[in-house]
Amino acid sequence: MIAGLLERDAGEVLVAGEPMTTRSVRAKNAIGYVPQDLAIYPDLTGRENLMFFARLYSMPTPAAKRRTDEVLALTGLADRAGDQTEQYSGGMKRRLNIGIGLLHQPKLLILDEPTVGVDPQSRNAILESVEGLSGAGMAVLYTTHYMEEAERLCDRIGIIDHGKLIAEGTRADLVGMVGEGDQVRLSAIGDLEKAAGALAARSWVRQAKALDGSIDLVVENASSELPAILTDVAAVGVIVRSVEVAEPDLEAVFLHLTGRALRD
Amino acid sequence: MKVLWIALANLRRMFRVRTNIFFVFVFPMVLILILGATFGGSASPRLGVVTTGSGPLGAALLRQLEQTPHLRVAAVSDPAALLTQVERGNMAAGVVIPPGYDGAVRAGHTVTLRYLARPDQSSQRLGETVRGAVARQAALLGAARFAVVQHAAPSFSVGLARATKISPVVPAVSVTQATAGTALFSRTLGQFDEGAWTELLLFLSSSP
Amino acid sequence: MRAAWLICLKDLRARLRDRSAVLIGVVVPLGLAFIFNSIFSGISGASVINLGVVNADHGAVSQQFTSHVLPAVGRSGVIAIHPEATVTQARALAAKGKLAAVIVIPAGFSARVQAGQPASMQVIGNVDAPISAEVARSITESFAADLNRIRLSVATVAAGTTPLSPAQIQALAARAAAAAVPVAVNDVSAQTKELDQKSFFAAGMAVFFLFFTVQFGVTSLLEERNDGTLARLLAAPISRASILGGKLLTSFLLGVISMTVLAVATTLLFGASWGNPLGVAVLVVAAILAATGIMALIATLAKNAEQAANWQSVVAVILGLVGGTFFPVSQAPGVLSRLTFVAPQAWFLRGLGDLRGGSISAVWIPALAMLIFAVVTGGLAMTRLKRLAEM
Repeated sequence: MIAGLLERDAGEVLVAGEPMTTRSVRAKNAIGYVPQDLAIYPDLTGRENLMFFARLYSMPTPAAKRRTDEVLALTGLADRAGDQTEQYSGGMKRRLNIGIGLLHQPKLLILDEPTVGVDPQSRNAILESVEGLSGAGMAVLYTTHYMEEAERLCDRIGIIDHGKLIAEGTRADLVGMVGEGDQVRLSAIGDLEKAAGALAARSWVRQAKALDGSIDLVVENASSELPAILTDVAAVGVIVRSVEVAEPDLEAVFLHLTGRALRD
Repeated sequence: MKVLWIALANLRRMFRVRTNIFFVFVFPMVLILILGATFGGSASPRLGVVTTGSGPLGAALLRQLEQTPHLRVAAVSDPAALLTQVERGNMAAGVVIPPGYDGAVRAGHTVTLRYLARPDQSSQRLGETVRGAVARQAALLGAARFAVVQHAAPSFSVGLARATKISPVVPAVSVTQATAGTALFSRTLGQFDEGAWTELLLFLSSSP
Repeated sequence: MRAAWLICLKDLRARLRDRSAVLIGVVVPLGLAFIFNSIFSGISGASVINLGVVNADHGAVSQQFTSHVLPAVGRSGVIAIHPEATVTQARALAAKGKLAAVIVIPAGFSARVQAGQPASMQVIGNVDAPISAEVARSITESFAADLNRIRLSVATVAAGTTPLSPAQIQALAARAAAAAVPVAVNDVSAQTKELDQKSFFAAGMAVFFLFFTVQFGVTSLLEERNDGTLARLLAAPISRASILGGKLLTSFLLGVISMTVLAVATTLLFGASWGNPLGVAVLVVAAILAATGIMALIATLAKNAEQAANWQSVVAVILGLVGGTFFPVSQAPGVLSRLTFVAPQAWFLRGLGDLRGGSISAVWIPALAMLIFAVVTGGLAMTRLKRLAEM
C-alpha cells in the first residue's frame, strides 16, 4: 500500500506529504521500490535496465545517463553493464535490483526482504549499504524475517502478525514490553545459595536462583548493574568463573506478543 | 526396460498439456479433411448457369450442360450474382441464357449466349467444353428450324420432336476416345489419400 | 502516453533482440510462401494444351477443320497445334506426355461425310491429362455436331416427305449448311477478383503469421507479472493505462513491421502483387487490430504466459485454416465457404481479392468486418486486462 501497489481499504497513506494511492504519480516519484523477487528484465543489459527505469521516473536523458553510471559504480556492475542481465550471477542481479530502486534518489527506499537466500558476504554488503544510505539521510523501510537484521539496522521497528501491526517503536520500547529484565548467569564455586539470597535482596534483582554450578539472575539492566552483582557475590565469598549476559531480543518480544515463535 | 518407463512418463506429461493433443492429433486430421474436401475428389470445375426466363428450350440446354461429363453445373438465378461468383473464383465460369431464348430460337433468330470467364487458361478451356454442349443442342434446334423453313414441318415443336426422334438413327459423325501412356497415380486412390500421406510425413518430421 | 511509448520501445528492443519475433514475423512466412508457391505452381499451372493433329484424309471437310476451326481455337491461346505425320508417332508422343492429346482424322473421312455415311474422328489423350483430353474432345465434338446439324436438318425434312433423290438431298444439304447456327456463344470477360497464386500465398502466409506476431505484446504482460517486473511498473509514477497501452502498442507495431516487410519483400522477391497500396494499408491495419484484439482476449483468459501462448497458437491455426490462408476455400463445398468468414483472415483475403478486380472502395466492407472483430474482442480484453494489471 505504501508503494502504491495495493489500494487501501481505509485510512490514508502519506508519502513525503503526498497522498499515496494506486494511481498517485507524485507520491510514487518519492519512493524507490526493491521487490523481494528480482525485478529486472533478463533480455536487456544492465545499463538498458537502468536507463529504462530512469526514463520511466521522468528523468531527462542526461540526468538518466549520469545516475545510471553512478548506480553502476555503486553496485560494482560497471564492467558488466553491457551484458544482458540473464548472464549475471545471483548476487549481481540482486545488486542491480537494489540499484534500480536508488536511481531517482528517492526520499523513501522500500526494501522487501532483500537478503533472503543470499550468501553471507553479499548479505553483509547489502546491510552495510543500507546503513550507509540511512546514515546519509534516506528514509528506509526494511522488511525482514531475520531478527538480527532488524536489530542491527533499524531505528524504529514494527512487528506485523497476520496482517496487523501489533507493536511499533524503538528497540528499547519493544523490549520493554516484554516486562522481563536481562538474564545473567554466573558460573561460580562456593555457597551459591547464600549468594543468591544476597542478590535477591537487591531491589533491581527480579529473580535470583542458585543452580548446580551457577546462579541465574534476572535483573533490570545488566550492563549497569553487573559491577554491583560481582561485588555482592564476592562479598559472600563465592568465586565467579564466567559471566553470561543475555538481553531479551525481538524473538522474545514476538513470542511474548503472539505466543508463537517468529519462524512458525 | 527403463527406457520404456521414461518414454511412458514423458508421454503422460505431454498429454497433460491439452494443446499438445490438439497439435499432434486434431490439427493434422482437420488439415487432411479440409485439403481433401477442397482439392481431392472430382476436379470438376463449377459452371454457373442462368436460365431465368429462357423457357423450355433454355431448360433443355441446361440439361444438356448437366449431362456433360467433367462439369458441375449450378443453377444461378441472377446474372449479376453469377458475375460476382465467377470473379471471386467460386465458380469457374458462367453461362447466361438470355430471357426470351425460347421464343427467339423458335422464331428463327440466332441467339447469343454470354459466357462469363476470367481471363485465365482454365476458364478459356472450359469455354470449349461449353461450346461442345451448346453445339449438340444447336444441331437439334437447327434441324427443327430448317424443317419449318423448308415447309417439311408445320411448327417448330413438331420439327424438334421429329429431329429428336430420328437423331439417334441418323448416321452421324462421332468422336471416339482412347488414352495413351501409363497412369502416374493409381485409379484406386481415394479422395483423401494424397493429402493423407503427405500430411503424415509433415507431422512426423515436425513432432518434437 | 509517454510511458506507454517507453514500455513499447523496451519491449520491441527485447523482442527484436530475441530472434523469435524476427523468425515468426518475417523469415518463416516468407519461406513458406516461397515453398508453397513452388510446389503448387506445377500442379495448378494451366498452361497451353499441346495438341497433336494427324490428318490422314486431306479432304475438304478435314481441311475445314485443320485450316479454320483449329486455328481459331489456337488464337484464343488454349491450344498449341502440332501437326504429326502418322498416328503411331502421335500416339507415342501422347503416351510420353509430350502431347496432351491427339486428334486423328482417318483417311476417307471427308468422302464419308459428304456421302452421308457414318464417320468418326478419334481423340487420343494422355492418361494423366484428362482435362486436356476433355478439351480436345469438346473441340472435336463441336465440329462434329455442326456437321451433324446439317445431316439432321436434311433428315428431318426428308422424314416428313416422300423419299428424296440424291440430287435433292444434295441441294437440301447445301441449304442446311448455309443456314445460320441458331445458338452462338460469346465470351464476356469477367474481372479477376481473386488473387493470383503468388499473391495468394504471400498474403495468406503473412496474415496467418500475423496472428502469431501480435501475441508477443499482451502475453508479455503475463510474463512480467510472473517475472516480478510488473510490480516495478505498478510502483513507478505511471498510470495503469499506460502499462496496458504500451503492451498493446507493442503488438500493433510488431504487426505493422511484419506485414510491411512481408508485403514489400514478396513483391520485390517473388513478384507478388498485393494491389493498390492505400487499399492494402487499410486492410492491413484492420487485420492487425483484429488479430491484436483476439490474441489479447485469449491471453487474458490464461493463467500464465505459457498457457496463453499455447491457446493463442491453437486459435491462430484454426482461424488460419478455416479462413483459407493455406488454400483457397472458395471452391470448397457449401458449409466451409460460409464458415470461413468467422475468421478475420478470410475477410482480409477477400478484401485483397476484391481490391484486385475493383476500385479501392472494395476494401471498406472487409475492413469494417475486421474492425468489428477488433472492437469486440479488444473491448472484452481491456476489461479483463484492467484486473490483470492489478496485483
